[in-house]
Amino acid sequence: MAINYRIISIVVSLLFTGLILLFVKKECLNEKLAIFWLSLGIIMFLAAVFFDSLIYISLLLGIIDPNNLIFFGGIIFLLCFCLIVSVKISEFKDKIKILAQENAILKFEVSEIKKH
Amino acid sequence: MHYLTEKGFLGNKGRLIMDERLLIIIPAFNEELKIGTIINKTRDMFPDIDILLVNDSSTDKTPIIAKDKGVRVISHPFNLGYGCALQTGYKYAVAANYDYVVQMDADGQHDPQFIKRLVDELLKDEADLILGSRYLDVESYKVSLPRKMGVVVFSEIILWITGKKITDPTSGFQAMNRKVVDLYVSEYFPVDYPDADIIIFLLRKGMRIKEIPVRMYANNNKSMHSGLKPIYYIIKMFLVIFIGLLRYKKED
Repeated sequence: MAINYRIISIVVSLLFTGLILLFVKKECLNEKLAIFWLSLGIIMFLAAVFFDSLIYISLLLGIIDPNNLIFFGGIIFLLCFCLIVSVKISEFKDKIKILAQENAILKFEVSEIKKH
Repeated sequence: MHYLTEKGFLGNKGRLIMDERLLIIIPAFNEELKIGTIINKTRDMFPDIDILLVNDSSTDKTPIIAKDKGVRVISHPFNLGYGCALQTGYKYAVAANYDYVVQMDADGQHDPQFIKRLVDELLKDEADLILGSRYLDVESYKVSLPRKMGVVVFSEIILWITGKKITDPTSGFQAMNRKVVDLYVSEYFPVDYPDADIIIFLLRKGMRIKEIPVRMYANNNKSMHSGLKPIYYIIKMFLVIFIGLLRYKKED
């Protein structure tokens, strides 16, 4: 692999990891998700440093070009992540619905109490 | 405290009941043109019955008109959908310990004079849920052909799954006892439009459902059955019924 490409990959993975650490520091990202994203950053870094092992793995899987392994892995990963996020959104929607309903009922009951 | 007596509802096996309470739930979203008439009509006919308007975050004068008329108004903080508005009403009915609930739409499709028939039928205690069916009534408005076909399909699905014939599963004109309300407040209640799925759910939970004819009027300004919505709706129904079947099987 060309040395430029390797350097760019390493820099990008380091920036990515740094960004996650920054988010954690600013408390924009909760620990559970931070661990998840951090491990991804580390995998990116390792893949950039040990690119040769990627070639070995892709040959084992019958993939000729290691770049295709990266794309394939990346797409699967993003798909799974989207699915997980959808599940979470549904969960939150249900919870928000319940909160809104209870809030509406409580508001009404408080106004009734205030009347008397 | 308002009771079910005097104004002439029949009680259990024909006797009057002294201490049972009824709540009329009207979910509404931007119905300022019609809501006043609906409330007046209902009030005139049943002066002693509590009316609850669930305002699904209307942007017009709907809640103000309803409050002026003296009915109870519960307002959602943001728009949650028709099914959610109904469920808020049921949740209130449970919290305030009502024995019976009638639900009626705010758009003028339902005629309040049929409330009495629904409740009389309910109080015979032969069914837990009384559905007002527009298809059993010859004088109700004629629905469009695609819609009618949809109803027939879902009616057949209910018949096939539960062995019970329901002619109008989309009916929002219902009277129910507390057993049904307790099931309606569960998480299974659909947030957008309750339909065949919730009827199947009730039947599987052993609820008795009876249909009686009611008059319904055409409603031209509803956007529910326009554009791509019917397609989404039909796909959703099949999916929900299928998922529902898996769910209840697990529970049984």
